[in-house]
Amino acid sequence: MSRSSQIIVIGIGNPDRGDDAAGRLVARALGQKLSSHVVSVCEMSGEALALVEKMTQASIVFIIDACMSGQKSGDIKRIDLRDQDLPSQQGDMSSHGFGLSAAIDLANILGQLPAICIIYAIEGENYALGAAVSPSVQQAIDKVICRIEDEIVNFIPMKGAGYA
Amino acid sequence: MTRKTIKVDYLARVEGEGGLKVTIEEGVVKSAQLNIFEPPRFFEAFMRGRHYTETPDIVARICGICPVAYQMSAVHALENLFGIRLTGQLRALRRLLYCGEWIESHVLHIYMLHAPDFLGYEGAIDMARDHSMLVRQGLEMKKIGNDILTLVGGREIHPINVKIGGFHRAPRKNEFAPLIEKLKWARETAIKTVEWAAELDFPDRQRDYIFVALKHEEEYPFNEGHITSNHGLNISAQDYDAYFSEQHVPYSTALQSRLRQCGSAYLVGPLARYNLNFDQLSPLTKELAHAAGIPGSCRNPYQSILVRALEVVYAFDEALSILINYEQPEYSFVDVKLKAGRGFAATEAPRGLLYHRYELDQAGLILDAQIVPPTSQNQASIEEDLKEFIGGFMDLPEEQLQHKCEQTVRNYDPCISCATHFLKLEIDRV
Repeated sequence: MSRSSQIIVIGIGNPDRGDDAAGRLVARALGQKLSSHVVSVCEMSGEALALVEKMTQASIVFIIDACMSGQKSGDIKRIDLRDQDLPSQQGDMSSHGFGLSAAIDLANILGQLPAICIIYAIEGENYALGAAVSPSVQQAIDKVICRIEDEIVNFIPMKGAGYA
Repeated sequence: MTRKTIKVDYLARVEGEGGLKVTIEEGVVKSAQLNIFEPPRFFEAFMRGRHYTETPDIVARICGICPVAYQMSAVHALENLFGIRLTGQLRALRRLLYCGEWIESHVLHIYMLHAPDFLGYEGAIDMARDHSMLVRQGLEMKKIGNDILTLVGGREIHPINVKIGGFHRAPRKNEFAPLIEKLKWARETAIKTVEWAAELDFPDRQRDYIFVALKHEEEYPFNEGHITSNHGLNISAQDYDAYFSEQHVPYSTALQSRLRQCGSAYLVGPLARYNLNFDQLSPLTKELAHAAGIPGSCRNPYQSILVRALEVVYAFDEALSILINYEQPEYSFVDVKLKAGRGFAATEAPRGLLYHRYELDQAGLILDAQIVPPTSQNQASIEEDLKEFIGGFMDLPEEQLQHKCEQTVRNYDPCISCATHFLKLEIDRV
């Protein structure tokens, strides 16, 4: 399968379940900041097969998702799959129980994991239907936006080229 | 008295959140309850007051797996009210869109949700370690289903191109050209899937089901046809409420449907379609069905994976036929003349019959809506399967027996998220 884009940013979550929107909000903000010639940005529910399919379309993939790992709300975890593993199932908020960690496992087994896959997990505290994003998570969202933006600049061969 | 309860708190490999409780006394299954505890979402209620033109985009949100089915039943119900009947390429495009959804949904279930039951794995991830080619080909086929939805529906999940009277935009013929070669590959892979599925080790269990599905004189049903059964039912969608009733059971947030007259459970979905419409399958699909050993009839629910595989071949075959004969229509939709009143439709979602009814006022605002998804209709049948079949597996160790119960539910590919639309309301009056 060919990898048509260089970098993809995937924000995962449910926009109507409080802090679960974190990944999508990061992706949405980056989509407005970055040139689509260099970076493709998308929001997804987190369904594993769709994620695997999307991941195969680039060689550098950033995934942002909310998680519940028992840490303090707003904590940011960065996992570079080149040298770290994603804790199995931990942190997935998919209602189908077949989400990000399953997608990573599956892509890995099928040899379809992108060369560079970096996951940002933002610890949430409120996943109630219709809830607003918690203030601590909003602060984390703003930080993750900046951090990914910086990382992407470093991945682009000529700094600033095609960068909006 | 020996009494045993098998309790599955969270059913795996089904869409949505549900559980299972089976009570066995002296080796006999006394009760089986499919516990659906996913919160209701009130789609029927918040359709009220919305303009009818919003309907296809709102109902598409009911399900991420079968949004086309909800759109199709909705637009056909409203077109029924307005006296619109699509013909030619617009009608063909609607069938094509449905082909895409059947492919996506069936392939997901066959490869990722159901196959692990037969091959002895906990789930698709474990299975992929030993059968990576199998999973790869499933993913590739599913992607082609996505491609159809993207081209015809505007995007692969929750399509936005469907409107009452047709489509917002009809694709140009050359947009489909790259898809034709992909479909040819996919059809060959789907044939291999049938051959693979036919060799699986199926429990030898059958029941005398009441099958309910659409039936059309000229084609395997997607969008049109009479609601029929193998017990002589033959009605139009307008009469659905006279023959079927929805009932609340205390352990489920999804209403259960039964035949109104006799109170019997009934089965909708691939098995029902297949048994009632075998003659309308393509010659290729019929030939494969003969070779697979289920020509024309199948009453073993564990073989539903095989019937789904046959329907995937049919969907690829039908999609190819539509695309080869496709010409961009002059208009992408026909004009709608607003009318107050009631409209009705049933179409064939991947999981079975999906009934919609809408009542509009003079301004085109929705006064009332009724949506009966296939999983609601199959709940009682799932419970009866458990009661009838699980007794025969009593010699299995506990863990395997529990697994067999779950597999019996998964035969139906239940979409619990779609089915939940009932809220148990308790009022304490002081």
